[in-house]
Amino acid sequence: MSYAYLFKYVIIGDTGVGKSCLLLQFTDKRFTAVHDLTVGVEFGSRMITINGKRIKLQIWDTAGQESFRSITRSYYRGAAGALLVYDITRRETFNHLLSWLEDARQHSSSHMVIMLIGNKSDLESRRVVQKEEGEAFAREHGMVFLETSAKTAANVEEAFLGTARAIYRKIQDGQFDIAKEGNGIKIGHQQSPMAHSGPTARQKSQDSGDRSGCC
Amino acid sequence: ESSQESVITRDIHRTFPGHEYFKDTGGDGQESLYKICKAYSVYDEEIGYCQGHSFLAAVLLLHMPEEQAFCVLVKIMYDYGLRDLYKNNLEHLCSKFYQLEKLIQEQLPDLHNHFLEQNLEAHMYASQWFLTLFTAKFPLCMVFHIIDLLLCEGLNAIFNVALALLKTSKEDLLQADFEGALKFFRVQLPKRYRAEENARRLMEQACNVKVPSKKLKKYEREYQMMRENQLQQEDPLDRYKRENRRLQEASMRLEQENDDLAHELVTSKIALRNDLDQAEDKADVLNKELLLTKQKLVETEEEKRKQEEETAELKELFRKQLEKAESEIKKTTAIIAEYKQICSQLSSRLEKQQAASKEELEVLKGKVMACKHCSEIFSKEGTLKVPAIPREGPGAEIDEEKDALKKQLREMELDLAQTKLQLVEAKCKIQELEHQKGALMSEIQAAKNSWFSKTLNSIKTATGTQPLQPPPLSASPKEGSA
Repeated sequence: MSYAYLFKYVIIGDTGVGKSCLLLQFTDKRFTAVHDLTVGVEFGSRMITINGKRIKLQIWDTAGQESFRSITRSYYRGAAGALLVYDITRRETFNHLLSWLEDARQHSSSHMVIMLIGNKSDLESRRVVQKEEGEAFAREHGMVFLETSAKTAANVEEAFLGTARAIYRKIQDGQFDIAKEGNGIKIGHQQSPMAHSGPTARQKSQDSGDRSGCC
Repeated sequence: ESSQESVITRDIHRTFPGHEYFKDTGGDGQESLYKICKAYSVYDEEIGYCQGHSFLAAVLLLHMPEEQAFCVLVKIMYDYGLRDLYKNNLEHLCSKFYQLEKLIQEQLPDLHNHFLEQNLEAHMYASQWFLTLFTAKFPLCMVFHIIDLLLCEGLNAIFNVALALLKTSKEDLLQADFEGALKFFRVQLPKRYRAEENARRLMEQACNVKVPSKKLKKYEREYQMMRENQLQQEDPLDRYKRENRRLQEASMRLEQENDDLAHELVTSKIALRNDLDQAEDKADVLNKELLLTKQKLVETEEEKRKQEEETAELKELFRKQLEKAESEIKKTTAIIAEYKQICSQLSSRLEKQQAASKEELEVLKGKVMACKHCSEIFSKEGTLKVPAIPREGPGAEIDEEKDALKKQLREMELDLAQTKLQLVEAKCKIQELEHQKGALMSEIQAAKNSWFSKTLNSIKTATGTQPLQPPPLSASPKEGSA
């Protein structure tokens, strides 16, 4: 199925904050309490609609451990959006946000939209990071902030769609040089028939349905 | 170290969560797995625990006890060189990807071209393969064969397996686009080898794939040169700028960290001071309490001592009173005995007197009987018999005789009256004696009663709650009879 745009996302954050579960919830509308450990990277995709335009999201789910940062970095380069995730029940995952943010800003296109996500909002009784702290951190660093629950699916859709809307706005404003490679945005055939290295015909035929699933 | 511990704990739950041996939180499998990973993180300080180790360790654990599994893990990491993949921010792993891509280009050129077209790079599908040595996603029966091959052939066998996987899936992959290929690697590929036949064929394929070490070395050199060129091609100004930015950021982060730590230090110092103050206050209170308690103890001991003395005194008093009472009882018993003797003496004297007066009476009676006249007058029973007056005979003589007899009779009667009087007197005397005896008896009884009650009362008051039983009377006075 054709699309107007293809946005590449990367999900980053400390190990165990629920990155893979957010992706699984978004692509498959499923939640598993015990998700397999992500070693290296995982991939997921889904079609969404923004302002009547079909947009394909390709999402890289990365490993959270420090030693995998060099692998993670190679995914920043081609990403238009990033979900920076922490766990509201673990203070240290919030404390590490700055180092993640620096890493992301340094290795990505300057226009990459980063959304801050406080995950596991269903575990209110175990919360240690207040919503206000997340809001303040996001404001300070020019990010959009949301609290989500991969378990109950609360705000999960909004997190991915909100990021897409922000990217779309930037495109409209002309902030993204979409002709340039490596900013994580591709124009689909529907939008521009003379697209560069866009999806092939075979790819189009395989894109059946809005979902293609994840790990 | 503690952060590694929490990462390991977190990962243990996510390592083969579907496997019988590893599914239970806190079960043997998870515990052994935790021990191995933790031990390795301590053993290898430079690399530490790396996500992915847990899968390899788990596969080893399914074959041997944990100590041996740890030793084999160390062997694979150090001697087989898996450890090198993790060094220098996985730099060596990127070199492996380059080698793999070159091998694909050489051995599967059409697939290589397809991947290039799709922008599909080796790190997108082979990261997990290499970092976990294929243990994470494939069916375990196949994983065991792969590990066997690696242990026999060395770490380069990862290329054999990777190429075999690509070769056996070539047709599917050529059909797939970018997303389709990634999905194929993630879902269909591991599923395919659940069939033993497929797994066997794959292993055969892997053994047949030629991976010349010379070529691998050549590719490695190429990669290194490429990396160096990349670094040198970069505008030095850019590099310095980037470096500068990085350092500035690091400096900022460290400053922030420093501030945070300083703040933490101050707050913890304050908290500690407060704690200390509180503890000191508490100690003061406790010390005071201790002093008070000690004082109380001394007082209590003093009181105890006094009470003991008092008790001893009381005991002594009781003992004395008991002795006194006993001696009094003895005395009274003696008096009673004496009294009884007196009584028996009195009664024996009375008996004697009675016997004497009886005898006297008998004598008197005998005398009366002996007299002719009197015997006629008195019957044996002592009643007076009046003799019939004779009508015939000489009257004067008779009268004289009559008078004499009358006189005699009168004397006799007088005698009798006197004797009777004497008898009465004797009886009176007996009665009086008896009376006297009764009075004495009652007097003794009264004396005894009053003495007993007095003693009893004194003992009772002395012992307080313990009334003493009066000693049994050894000699109760018998009712004397006259």
